[in-house]
This record gives sequence, structure tokens and C-alpha cells, in this order.
Amino acid sequence: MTMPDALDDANTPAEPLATDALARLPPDVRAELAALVAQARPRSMRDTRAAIDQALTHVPGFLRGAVRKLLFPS
Amino acid sequence: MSGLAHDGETIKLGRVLGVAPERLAFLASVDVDTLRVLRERLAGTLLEDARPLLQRAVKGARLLTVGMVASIGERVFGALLCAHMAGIMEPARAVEVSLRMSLPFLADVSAMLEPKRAAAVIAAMPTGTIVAVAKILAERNDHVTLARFVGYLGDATVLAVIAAIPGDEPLMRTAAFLETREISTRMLALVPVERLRSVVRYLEEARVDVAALGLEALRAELDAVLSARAP
Repeated sequence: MTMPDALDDANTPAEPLATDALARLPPDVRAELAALVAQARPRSMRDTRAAIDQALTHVPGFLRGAVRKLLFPS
Repeated sequence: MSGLAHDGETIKLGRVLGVAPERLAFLASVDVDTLRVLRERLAGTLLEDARPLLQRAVKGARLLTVGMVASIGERVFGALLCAHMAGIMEPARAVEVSLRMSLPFLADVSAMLEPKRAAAVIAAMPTGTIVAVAKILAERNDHVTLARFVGYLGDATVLAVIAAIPGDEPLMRTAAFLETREISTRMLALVPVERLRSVVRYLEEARVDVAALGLEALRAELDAVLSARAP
């Protein structure tokens, strides 16, 4: 039984082809790929959030409140 | 494993993960089909992570004019996020926005786009814009990206792109990066016989190492197409 890593993703529906491809990877290759994915996922989210925050500053003032409400509804 | 197809998949996976292809040298022993499946899976994972936020951004963008969205997209979001959003936005709106962006930026977005996720947008893009972007990609020697779009373009558009990109090497490299045999067969069927003969002559005269580049299947297919289309 191997420990789950960044390649075991609960967020993406299981696909038999991908499951097979992952199972075929040698353990050292899988570990190295998982390490890159573990770095890429939070970076991708951070970059997305930062871009959206910055985009808001380019929205004309009279629309900014309404756009912000749609972006961050809480 | 070696060859242009393997190099192409490594470049694409590097774009997904935000790393240089050299950082993926540890994948050298993994076959091309496995790499392709993994790349599609990981691109999906990264997009799914950000999807709720991107969906809200698309909703927010509905309050803005097309010109404003294009300007913010190009100046703030950058190519990767615009590529993600192209697959989430309504296709007609995505086309309108993209037509307000600069052609070099659209080429940047194309390099980051998963064509499968934006097929409706690609299908609705005017041929002139696709040809102009393809020319920029060819000038950048980005044959990997050129090849990714062939399966999502109509015959007339593929023909227009082929006509707009002169030279045998770009055509040969793009064909080498095509993702499936079906797409390769379809593209070669569209290429005028003279261009195909010219590519074969190039492979011979430039002494391209067909085996080292993993081009045996392409070479065999070129020969088969030429012999089938011989007068």
C-alpha cells in the first residue's frame, strides 16, 4: 500500500487511462513527478488569486464593488 | 525514449507544470502515450483546482465591456490564465474578447491552451486570425503548439495555415508532433502533393536522421500517401 501523493487527486474524477498510466510509472519517477505537482498546485492557485486581485484594480471604480461581490460572494 | 514526439510531450507537460522541459529529464524512460495521458490529467487537475475562482471571474467579467476584459486579460491575467478562462467563458464571448487582443498575445495563449477544453472557441475563431496566429507560432518555431490545433480546425482552415507557412522543416516538425495517427493521416491528406514531395526531398537532402528523431512512422506515411496520390 503506497501513501497517497499529489498525483492522487480527489478533485479530478478518476479516469481509467490516467490510473493505468500512473500505475505504470516507476516509483522513483512517480515520486519526482508528484513533487513537481505538489509545487505546481498551490502556485497555480496563488497566481490565479493574485491576478484576480490585481485585475480588480483595473476595473472602473463605479463597477468595482459589483464585480468584487461576484468574485468574493461571502 | 527519444524522438520529436517525446520532446513535444515533455515541452507540453513542462508548460502545464510551469517548469523548463530540462527539469523533466527524469521522464525520459516514460513512453509518449503515457506522457500524453499524464499531461492531460495534470492539466485537468490544475484547472479544476482553480475552476471555482475562474468561474466567478468569468461572472464578474460579464459586467465589463469586451474591450475592458481583453485589456485586463492581456495586461493583468497573462497567457496561462486567459487560456484557462477560454475554456470556461461562453464561446461567443471568448471569441469577441480574443479578437480585441494582440496577435502575439493570442500566440502566447495558444501555447498554454488545452485545445480540447476550448474546442468551441477554436471552431468559432475567424480563419484569418487563426492563420495570423499560426504564422507567429511558426516564426517562433513553436511546432508543438501548431500541431495541437490541427485536430480542432476545419479542413479549409488547416489548408489556409499550411499555405501560409512556407518551408519543409516547419511542416515536417508540425506533422511529427501531431498527437494521433488519425490527425496525421487527415493532415497529410490535405497537404498538396508538391509540398509532400518537397518534405520527402528535404528529409533526404538534409540527411535528417529519421530513426533518431522517431520519424519512421511519419516517413512511411508520407511514402504511402504519395504513392496513393500518384497520378
